[in-house]
Amino acid sequence: MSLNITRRRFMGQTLGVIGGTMVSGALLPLLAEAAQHKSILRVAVERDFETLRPELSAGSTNWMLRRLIYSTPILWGTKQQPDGSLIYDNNTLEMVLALAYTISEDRQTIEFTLHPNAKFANGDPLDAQAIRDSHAWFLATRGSGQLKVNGIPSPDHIEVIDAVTLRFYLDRPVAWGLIGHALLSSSSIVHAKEILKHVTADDPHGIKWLESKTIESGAFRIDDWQRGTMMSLVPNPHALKPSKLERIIFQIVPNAATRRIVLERGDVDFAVEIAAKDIPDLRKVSGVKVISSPSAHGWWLGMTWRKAPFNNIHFRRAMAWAIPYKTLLQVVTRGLAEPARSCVPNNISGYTGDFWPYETNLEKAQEELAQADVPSGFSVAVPVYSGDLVDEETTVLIQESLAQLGIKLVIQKMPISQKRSLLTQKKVDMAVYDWRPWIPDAGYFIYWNWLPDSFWNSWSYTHEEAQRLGDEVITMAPGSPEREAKLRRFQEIVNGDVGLVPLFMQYDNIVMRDHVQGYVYYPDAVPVLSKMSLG
Amino acid sequence: MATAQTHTHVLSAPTRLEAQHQVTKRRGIFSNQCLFRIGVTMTLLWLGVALLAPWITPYHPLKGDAALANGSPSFEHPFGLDKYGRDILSRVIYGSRYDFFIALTVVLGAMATGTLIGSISGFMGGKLDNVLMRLMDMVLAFPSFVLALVFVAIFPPNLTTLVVALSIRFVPIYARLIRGEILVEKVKEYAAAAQAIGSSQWRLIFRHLLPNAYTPIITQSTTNMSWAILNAAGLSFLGLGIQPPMPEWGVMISEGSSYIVSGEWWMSFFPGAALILMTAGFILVGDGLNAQTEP
Repeated sequence: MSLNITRRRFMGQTLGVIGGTMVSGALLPLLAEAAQHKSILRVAVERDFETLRPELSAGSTNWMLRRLIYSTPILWGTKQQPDGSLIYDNNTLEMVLALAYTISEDRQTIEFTLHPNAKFANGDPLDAQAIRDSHAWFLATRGSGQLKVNGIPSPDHIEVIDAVTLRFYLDRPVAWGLIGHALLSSSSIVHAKEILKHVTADDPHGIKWLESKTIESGAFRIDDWQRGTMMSLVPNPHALKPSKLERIIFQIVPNAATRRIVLERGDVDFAVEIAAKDIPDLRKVSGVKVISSPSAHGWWLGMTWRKAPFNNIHFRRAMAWAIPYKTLLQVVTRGLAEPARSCVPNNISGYTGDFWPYETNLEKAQEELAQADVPSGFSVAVPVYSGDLVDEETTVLIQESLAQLGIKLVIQKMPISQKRSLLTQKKVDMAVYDWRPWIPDAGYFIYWNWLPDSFWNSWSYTHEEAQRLGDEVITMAPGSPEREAKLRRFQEIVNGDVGLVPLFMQYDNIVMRDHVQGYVYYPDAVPVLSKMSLG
Repeated sequence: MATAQTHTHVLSAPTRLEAQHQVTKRRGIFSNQCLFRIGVTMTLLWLGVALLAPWITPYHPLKGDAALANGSPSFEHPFGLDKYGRDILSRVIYGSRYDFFIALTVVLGAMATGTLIGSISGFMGGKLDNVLMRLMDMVLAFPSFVLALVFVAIFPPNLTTLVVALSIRFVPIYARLIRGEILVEKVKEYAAAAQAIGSSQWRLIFRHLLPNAYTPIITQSTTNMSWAILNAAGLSFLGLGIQPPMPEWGVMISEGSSYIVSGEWWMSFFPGAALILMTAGFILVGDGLNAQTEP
């Protein structure tokens, strides 16, 4: 065989070698980078997780972790919106630990058929008994709370039929009895047997152990936790639905502006709690996408009913006419909100905006105030969450507006826990206040905010007919015409009383890099990171 | 028989080192005096601004135009506008009243209380001295922010609470200074003479000892003024002290800090510059006084 080297062949082969080297030299790092992108989701959060206890309300960042490490029997279904983004579907359910469910006609018995192969992260079976034990633990630690709200006041209401069949007997047919099993606050499945191994005389529920340790039931387990710095999670080897992610890293970045920067630079893939003022700029950044979803997160101005002049209807109407609604939308939310028009949030079943006639009109406010018998130089102390820009800016703008009526608001900034404590103890005369129902149902919101014993009835509102209606809708079938009519009448009464002055419904703005896929918006606004992937 | 000794002093030319020292000292004095004058001028300027604020602000410091929110510096608004559309120049001018007032009241309050405690402690000595100084040590050991948070939990968050919380933090500084000075002064001859002629203890302390012991606290007070302003700025961010919408520089800086990333630098820059200039004035005055009282 002769080696026939021609000039043409030599040039062709040489160029081929050079080209191949260039391509592989450039491609390999890209491949490595792409592989890295496909494997690891990096999330910037504003604070550390504090605890692994699932029964505490510890903020949206903690809920995000709980969705990863604790499973629930079901979740909301998903649908696609016209713009391609994914949102929860109130009419369908996604089975998680459960394979199927049945619900009795009277809606008081719910039976789940569970996945036969579900396991905790340590390999222990996650069967019907384990789920019952988990609920029993929740009930023991709290005594009252979300499970009771869901119609399950004691473990006696839960029956293990067999290893894969679990039955719940609700004490009353609450409208959210079924979907309540998607809630983290009541249905995060913990390894109760393992927890109870760590009880002591001072800690009969093993809470101290659960502050920093757990046996995960969710899609991910904690691999490393450096408090104050980061947390790293890897897939639970026994997860029923494996994630496309190999690892999730939470990086604690306390400052909102810094979180924005690290997201823009690509140091993280996903960032939470980005200030509303940064959202318009981030929409223009290449490589970043923003998903803004109308939410049920409402903001209202509340006033007590316990004393004058707040319990005077003319005073309340004056306040309603005096609020600078458009300015609030423009300045506080940067347009990332919609007007609120009722004593229940927008974007939930049962809401109607038909009974709120007020808009900013200082003349009408003055007319109403003149009939309210308000003493000259009237002033009221208004608590404001320290560090919460929305609360502070809203209150300042309302303060400016009311000053034109001769009403002085004295702002008192305080830690969030202090203001919440004052609200729940009903010690506040007037304040801006926000609330988001985890279940997008007006009856659920009324249960927590408008009944005589409601935990968040901070204003001591009472109205016999309205509260009777509110109590009735709790146990009526969701979506039924009769229930809708009662909810409508309820809002007509309460809005007529100016029970609360609705200010705005804040959008939920989620910011991430372009290559992050699979985000679904749920009504509790908690991202399910295990469903996401890096494209 | 004693012989008067004659001492003849020979005037010798200063050594090169002495000459250099004299030149340096003259330059040093000159430099310190110059800086002292600058500090006094700055402080008096700020005092003038604070007193005349209601008359010299171009716009109302509390009212804004939401349509102009976050406006950049311009001819009409040289310092720009904040997130509510309020003129920042007007708020900086008006804010000088709050920060000057805070500086003065905190320092005067701490000085008065600390002087009293330190005088008694230094003069009496013994167990009382021990108890008072250990109390001062405890207050000093307490982180000032934690102390302020304790206050806000007990008392309503307002200017009075802020002033009290900061004053308490500075009391031990003055107490220990005065105590040291009193310990030195009380053993001097004039003190013994005053006691011999029947002066009461209080008269001795306040009429004789303190006038000779106060110099260090004057110098300290100017430094503490700057610290009071800086601490007030930090504590106001926590919600203690000046409440919105009042223009306090610390609150303005913290509110504006989150806007720097998005390019709206003016919201923090101008109140920050004002803060620097006011504290620099106090520090220069303090340094000047310190230099003049040095032996």
